[in-house]
Amino acid sequence: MSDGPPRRAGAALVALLALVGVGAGATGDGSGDVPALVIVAGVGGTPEYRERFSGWARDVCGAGLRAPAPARVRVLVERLPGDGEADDPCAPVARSTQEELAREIEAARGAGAAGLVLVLIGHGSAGGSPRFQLPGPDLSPERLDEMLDAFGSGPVTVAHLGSAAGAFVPALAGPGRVVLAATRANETNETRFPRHFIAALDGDEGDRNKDGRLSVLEVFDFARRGVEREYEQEGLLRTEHALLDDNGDGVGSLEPEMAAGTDGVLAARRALLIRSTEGLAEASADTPEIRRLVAERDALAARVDALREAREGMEEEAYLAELETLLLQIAELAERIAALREEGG
Amino acid sequence: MRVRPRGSARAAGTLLALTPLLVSVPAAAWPAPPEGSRPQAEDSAPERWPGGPDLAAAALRAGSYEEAEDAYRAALSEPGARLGLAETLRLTGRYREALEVLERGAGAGPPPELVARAAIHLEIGEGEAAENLLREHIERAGPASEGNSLEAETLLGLLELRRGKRAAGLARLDGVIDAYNTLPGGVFRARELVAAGRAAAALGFRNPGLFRDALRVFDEAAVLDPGDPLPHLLAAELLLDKFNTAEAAESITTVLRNNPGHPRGLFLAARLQERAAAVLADGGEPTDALAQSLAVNPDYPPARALEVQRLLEQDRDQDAERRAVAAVSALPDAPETLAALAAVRLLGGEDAELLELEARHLRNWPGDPLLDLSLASAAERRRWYREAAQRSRAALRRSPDSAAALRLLGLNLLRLGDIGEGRSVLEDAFRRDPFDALVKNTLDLLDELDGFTSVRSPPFEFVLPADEAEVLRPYVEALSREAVDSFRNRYGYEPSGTLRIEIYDRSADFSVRTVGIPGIGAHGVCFGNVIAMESPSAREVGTYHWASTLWHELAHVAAMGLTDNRVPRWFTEGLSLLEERWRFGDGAALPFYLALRDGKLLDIPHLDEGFVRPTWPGQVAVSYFHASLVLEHVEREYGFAKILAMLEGYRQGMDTPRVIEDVLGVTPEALDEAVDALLEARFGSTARGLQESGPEGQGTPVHPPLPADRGVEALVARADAAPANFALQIQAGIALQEAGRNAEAIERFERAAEAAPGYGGPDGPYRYLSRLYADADEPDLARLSLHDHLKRFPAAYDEWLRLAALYAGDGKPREAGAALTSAIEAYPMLPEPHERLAEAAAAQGLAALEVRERQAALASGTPDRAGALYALALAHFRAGDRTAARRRVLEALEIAPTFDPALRLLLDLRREG
Repeated sequence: MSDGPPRRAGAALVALLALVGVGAGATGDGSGDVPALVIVAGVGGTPEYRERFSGWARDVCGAGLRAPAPARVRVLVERLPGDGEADDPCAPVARSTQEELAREIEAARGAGAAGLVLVLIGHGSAGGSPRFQLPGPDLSPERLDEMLDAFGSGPVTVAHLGSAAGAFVPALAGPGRVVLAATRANETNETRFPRHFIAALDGDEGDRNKDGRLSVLEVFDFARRGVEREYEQEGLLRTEHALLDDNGDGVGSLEPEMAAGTDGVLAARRALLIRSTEGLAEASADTPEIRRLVAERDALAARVDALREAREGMEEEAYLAELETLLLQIAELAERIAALREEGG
Repeated sequence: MRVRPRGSARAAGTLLALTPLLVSVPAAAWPAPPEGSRPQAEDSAPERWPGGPDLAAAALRAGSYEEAEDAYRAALSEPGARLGLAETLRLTGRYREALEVLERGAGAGPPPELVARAAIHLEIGEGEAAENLLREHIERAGPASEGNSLEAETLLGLLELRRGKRAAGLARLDGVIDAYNTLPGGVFRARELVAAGRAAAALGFRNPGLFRDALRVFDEAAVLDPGDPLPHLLAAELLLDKFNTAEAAESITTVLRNNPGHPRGLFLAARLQERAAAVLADGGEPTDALAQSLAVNPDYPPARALEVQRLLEQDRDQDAERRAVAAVSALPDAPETLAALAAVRLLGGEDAELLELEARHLRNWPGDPLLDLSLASAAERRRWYREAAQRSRAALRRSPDSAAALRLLGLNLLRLGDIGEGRSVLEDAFRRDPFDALVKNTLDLLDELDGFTSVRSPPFEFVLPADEAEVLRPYVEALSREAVDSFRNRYGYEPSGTLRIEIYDRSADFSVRTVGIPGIGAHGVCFGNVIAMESPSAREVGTYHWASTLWHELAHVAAMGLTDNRVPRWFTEGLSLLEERWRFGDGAALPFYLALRDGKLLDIPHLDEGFVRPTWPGQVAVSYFHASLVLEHVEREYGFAKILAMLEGYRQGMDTPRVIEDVLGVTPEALDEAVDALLEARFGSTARGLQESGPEGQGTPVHPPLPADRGVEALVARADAAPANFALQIQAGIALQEAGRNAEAIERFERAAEAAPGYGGPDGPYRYLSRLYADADEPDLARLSLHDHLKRFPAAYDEWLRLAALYAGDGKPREAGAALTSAIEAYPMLPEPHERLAEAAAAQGLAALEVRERQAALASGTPDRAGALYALALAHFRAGDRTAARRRVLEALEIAPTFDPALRLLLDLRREG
């Protein structure tokens, strides 16, 4: 899994930064290496919830491992199963206590992971001292922040999928961090967000721009909209409103807009999962010629992004003509790339 | 001009001055002596009465009329007793006696009896006599401007308005308010405040702030004389007129708490119940306030009129006529009962009698729109919207300031599809009365409709929520055309003019559009050429079948069109549901079985009551199903031509018994018996089975109340003990299924299906069976069970998808496609059935269908927009529409510029030129 800006996304970054007037060197968002994925299933409270949470943890793990550049995944659960398969990469490695979590985060740093993605699945509590329920002492936002500080300056993404997740946003927000919360701080009902989060990782539909990389923002938007739709269909008042903070101000956004200084910019660049080899930055076995063509294609794709941003001020016909010209160039490049790969493969 | 608020120095002075009066003036005679007779010594010292004046007045105020009459009669020579006796007699409907009592007591000076006599004449519609008395009183007591005759001036002003002396009446009422506002240091008593409030309410059309002032002044009057019901009654009437039922209920409750036998209070309670029935359309407690009112005062004209109105609503026209004629005989001049009889004549098509009644009304009340409004309302309730609009216009000619007439006209124009003029008229109504909740809500709704998408596709105009139009339109239009074609073939009916179909994504908006029409269905309403219904998105998936609702409403268009809107409610609803059942299937729900079991189904001549005046929860839905079974029987036994002949009979103005006798050649009783036999054969054993085990079998099986202290075996034993009990078999089946004993569970559900073969609803046995058979790897049986379930409950969206998956898995794309189409008829707002149907269409080479479904998938908000656009582009490409394909693929690539399949399609398109 790569957190850096590979290919088209990188090109898009250049274009985006150019548009918003931020220097291209202002942020470094990791290398092409794979970040560590730590999945924590908290206390279920009942066998049903315990089963559900560990099942979701396994699903997230499975999605991470199916990626062309598999994540380094560690799964922590409330109770370790007695008879796990030895070669099961998604088998829980430890109980989801504070100590084990802290140990895993340090281990990820020690392993030189380019970044950390932490997924929390379980029950949260609100009020004056919000907590995420773990075996043993529950986890406070402040304590988790300390643990994440221990990871160092690498890019950190936290996805808190439990109830009252929003209470963790203020403490966890910071430079380089993307914090995704399933609910506002005071929403304590069981969440539906995790199912949609997993669906985004599992299927193709979450990859909105079909670039083979699932950005944190794409996953967030997919899951958020899925939750909204579900409540609408059932005619219920929505009791969960997901938040995303990536500008470090500690105030999560309900609908990140990717405008300068607002939430969404970093989350759009940061990949949560690579869905296809196309999405890999430097890890493919392409020849230098193919890489050159890919870079050329991505640069054109970035121009499409820029053109789209500029659409409002353009005549419709001129816009469409320019769009088609760019897309045909991309299509021709894509065709050549495919042919070269076929020849090479 | 405004009535000075309580906070002003003038009003404060009034309150201060009145406080001692409340202490010093016991309620010697109720009503309190009118103006011109300021509290006098004799009012406070009549201790010679048997039982005392307090007891007489208390008896009157408590509704102990006999006791009050005895007490007053025993002391008739005492001050105030005559007024009290007259009031007692008036309230109990002995109007002539009341007048005689007052006339005998007439003497010199400014007698309060004059106003009391005028009020009685007014109540029984003798306008001229009332006018003469009021003028006499004013002449003797002095005008309002000098602090006298406030009540008489108000009554006279109101009377002048009704008698066509508009300028004089308005000027007089202005004078009352001027007097109230400007009189120096005068002391107003409760009745004078009431008079000022009435004047303010009557002038509210010119300055709506006066409505609020009127309520405030009524409140002040109630504070001054807490025992007097009049300010509460007037406040309640004002609030009811503005559809403020909650506050009206408070005032009415206050009156009835003091006097449970107050005829006017009871009448208003009945009106309130009317309003609640109109809004809720179902449920509610049995209403008896009207009967109670008439029991106290059998001739109270407004109550008599309401009684007639109710009978007309139930299509009991002959009963209505009998009661109306009797009411008019009792009080020949009362405008309410004249208007009620006129409504009977209108609905009966008796034009000559109607004209005579109109002329009679106009002779006395040339400026009173009451009769025209009554006719408009009666026409509206029969869904004769054009007639209702015409009568509303007549009311406006009579009384150009009538906000009620404007409201009726505006609403009925909207129902006729004349949105432009309807809105304009309602805006006019709103300017005159911004407190009318119905008008306000309707105007808000029209504002909402501005944001809807309107699509004209003759003969239809579809008005759809903007963000749903793209998904809904193709399906709504296709089904509408299919329905109109089907009904043209079956009924020979061709709709004239535009059919306007409004679809609302918010139930609240739909409710506003349909309020005021009793007995409407839960999801849709047909006004003739205008249909309003809920969007599928307004309800939870799997609970509402939009397509059958649209089909149902379009069937109404035929039935109403063929009868000039004269078809009774039960017949058109039964016919529409029958058409719905033929097309989509439907099963009997549990409440129907329970009603059958309990003997609660109405006989055919009274079936309308189950729609317009339900007396138990669920009766409306049960009546729908019952009516459809009646017509199913008629169609099966007599042929569809007889249904058409019955419609023709209604068009000619026949009532239901006559239609049955003339067309079918049997009595209504015989038809009832035949239908009962049908019901017995199809549903009887199931209904009795529910009874066998007592209350335990009566709950809905949706979430059967499994006894916590019993295990699976106990449930099985109970089911064994009552093998015909549907609910117990379902309970046992669920328990067995949860215990993993699937084979036994299947046996139980099969038994339940056998016990209630016609049972419909989301919780029937076939849904369980389909899952159990699928788990048992019996796809054929699973499919059969799904079909069984879905023909009884076609709204089951998920089950349609499951059926489609079973067919697809079996390599039957056509059958899968049919199931997916049905899923869309249940709920079209999700991408899944569209995507799957598009795939099935592609597999069968049905390019046009594929395009439609890809468009719908895209419009239904699929999260993968780029993917959906590409799939649509490909469908267009396959259908040979290169231009559309190019446009869509560009849109896909605009979102996802490196999306390889789309890039390849773009190149293909370019290469193919």
